[in-house]
Amino acid sequence: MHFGGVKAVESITFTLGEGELRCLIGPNGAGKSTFFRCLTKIYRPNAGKIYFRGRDVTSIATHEMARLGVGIKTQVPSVFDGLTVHENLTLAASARHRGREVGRMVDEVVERLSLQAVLGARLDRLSHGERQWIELAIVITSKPSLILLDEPTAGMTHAEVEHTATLIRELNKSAALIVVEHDMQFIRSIATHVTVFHEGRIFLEESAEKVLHDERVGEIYLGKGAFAK
Amino acid sequence: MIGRLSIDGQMLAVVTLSTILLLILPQVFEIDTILQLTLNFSFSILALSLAFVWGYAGIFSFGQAAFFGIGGYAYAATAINLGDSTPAIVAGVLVPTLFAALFGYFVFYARLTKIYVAVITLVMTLILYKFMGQTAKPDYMIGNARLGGYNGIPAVPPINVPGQPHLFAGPDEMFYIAGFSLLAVYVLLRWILGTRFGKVIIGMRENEKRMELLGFDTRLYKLLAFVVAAAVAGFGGVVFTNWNAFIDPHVFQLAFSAQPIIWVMIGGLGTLAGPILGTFILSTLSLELGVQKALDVNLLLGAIFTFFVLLVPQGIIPTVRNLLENREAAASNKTDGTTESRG
Ligand SMILES: Nc1ncnc2c1ncn2[C@@H]1O[C@H](COP(=O)(O)OP(=O)(O)OP(=O)(O)O)[C@@H](O)[C@H]1O
Ligand SMILES: [Mg+2]
Repeated sequence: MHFGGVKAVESITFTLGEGELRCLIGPNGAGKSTFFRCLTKIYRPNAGKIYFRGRDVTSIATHEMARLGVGIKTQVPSVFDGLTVHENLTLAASARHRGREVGRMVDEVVERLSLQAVLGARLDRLSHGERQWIELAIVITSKPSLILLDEPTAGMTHAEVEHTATLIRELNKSAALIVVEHDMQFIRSIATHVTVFHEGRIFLEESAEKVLHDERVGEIYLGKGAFAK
Repeated sequence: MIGRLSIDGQMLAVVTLSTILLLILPQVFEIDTILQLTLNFSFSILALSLAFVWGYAGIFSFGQAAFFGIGGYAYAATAINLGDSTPAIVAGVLVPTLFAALFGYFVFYARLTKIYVAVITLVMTLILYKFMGQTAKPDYMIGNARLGGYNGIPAVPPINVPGQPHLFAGPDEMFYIAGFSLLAVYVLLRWILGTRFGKVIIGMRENEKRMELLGFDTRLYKLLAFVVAAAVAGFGGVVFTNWNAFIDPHVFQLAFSAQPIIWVMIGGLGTLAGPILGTFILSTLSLELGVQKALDVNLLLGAIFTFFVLLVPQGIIPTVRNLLENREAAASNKTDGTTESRG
């Protein structure tokens, strides 16, 4: 994926197994979000192919990708600001379902994430952390089979981060996930495999333990001062 | 669900009150006022169409009046040719609907950004103005109806009892027809906004990207919202053409296209009642000011509009609603329920 002269993501060969949970790390500007935008078809790659469950999806539209079961929590929360939490979730559920099923799906997520207290609150009245949490709820409500999470714990309290880790492990029982994160503690608690992005390329793909102890990974991050062991 | 019930109750109250009002007014007012109200009803239908497509679907259609005009012309041409208003009303709604479907297809499937949609709808209107203006020559006929260029089409037959052209509506009947038409359009749009489709277009207004990421084909929903609004505007044009038995290209002028935008802004974007209120306030104002003849009407209206936008940027209904809600919140600190937009 090129932007003028900038090569944001280049020659990436990335394969994710059915039901796998993978973490994506890399310093700022490594191309992680751009990679996600290619997968959700917000951007169309200048070259290369994308396959989903054996099907070539390189040239389909964003909404079609979503209908195939790809859900994303974007880096900057993308929610319906003027609407209540309940209305947000109802929209998410009605994307691929109709009738009574919609209410049932909403109730289920409300229960699961304990959202009863904020159900009537408008999104623009919530804190950054709460909005992150609601976006996660939106994604879960739409029942994707591949979930992309771009820095889901940014702006969350320690307790919320732990809650998120538990949730991700739970989601992984029924869906594959790719999670972009900087927090190594968090990564260690959820993933077995980690892919390291650096300057638009895949730098390393290894088990979490190996990656966390790899000196070269430390160096990549050191320049940016964000490697928190 | 309490929320659902109260909205239905609200609707019932609106319908009952409006019906009583519509039945009483002709007994109270002189014919001048009745005619003026009838005109405002037709304008309000136009305002509602913009309130829907702009205030709820988030599509700023600068050329909404074009569909009003096309509806008026389609009614006029059909009524003159067939001598019966029933198929003419159908044509007055159908022609702008089809036109909007075709035009909207190219606009929305090309994924034009908001600002381009605004510009291109305006340009479409201005082209129609030029085109209708140069139809003065006798070759421009639709059947027996001469388009007449800037002079327009005179002597358009009024609405009649289906199949009986000699039983046609006079000013009083036209008042009832226009009034109940407005009420029907209001109820219809309220109903649409409560359906899944209505929720989807509101979601699109709030965050189009998120809607796509969830799997909604926003091109299709925008097109549908645009087409519904065009049908409503066209119907407004039918009522308008009936009001003075006449239609001319001024409905495609820039000044005319700007009017519904002002009505909607003053009454309140994101509501339905607001734009109706805005229409009545501004049309009445411009009529009164016109009678005074002391000052240039447009200048004064422009000044009022500017002050209004600066002082009450949200429009009347949302501002009043916020005031009431704040007072309520102060009275009881309980937070509850949904903040669904009503109006
Ligand atoms: N729309 C765009 N136009 C031009 N350049 C872009 C665009 N989007 C991203 N880039 C560039 O592409 C590179 C990769 O950006 P990206 O957002 O994918 O990084 P990231 O790995 O997600 O970083 P971070 O950890 O800060 O979120 C950066 O150099 C960025 O400036
Ligand atoms: Mg990023």
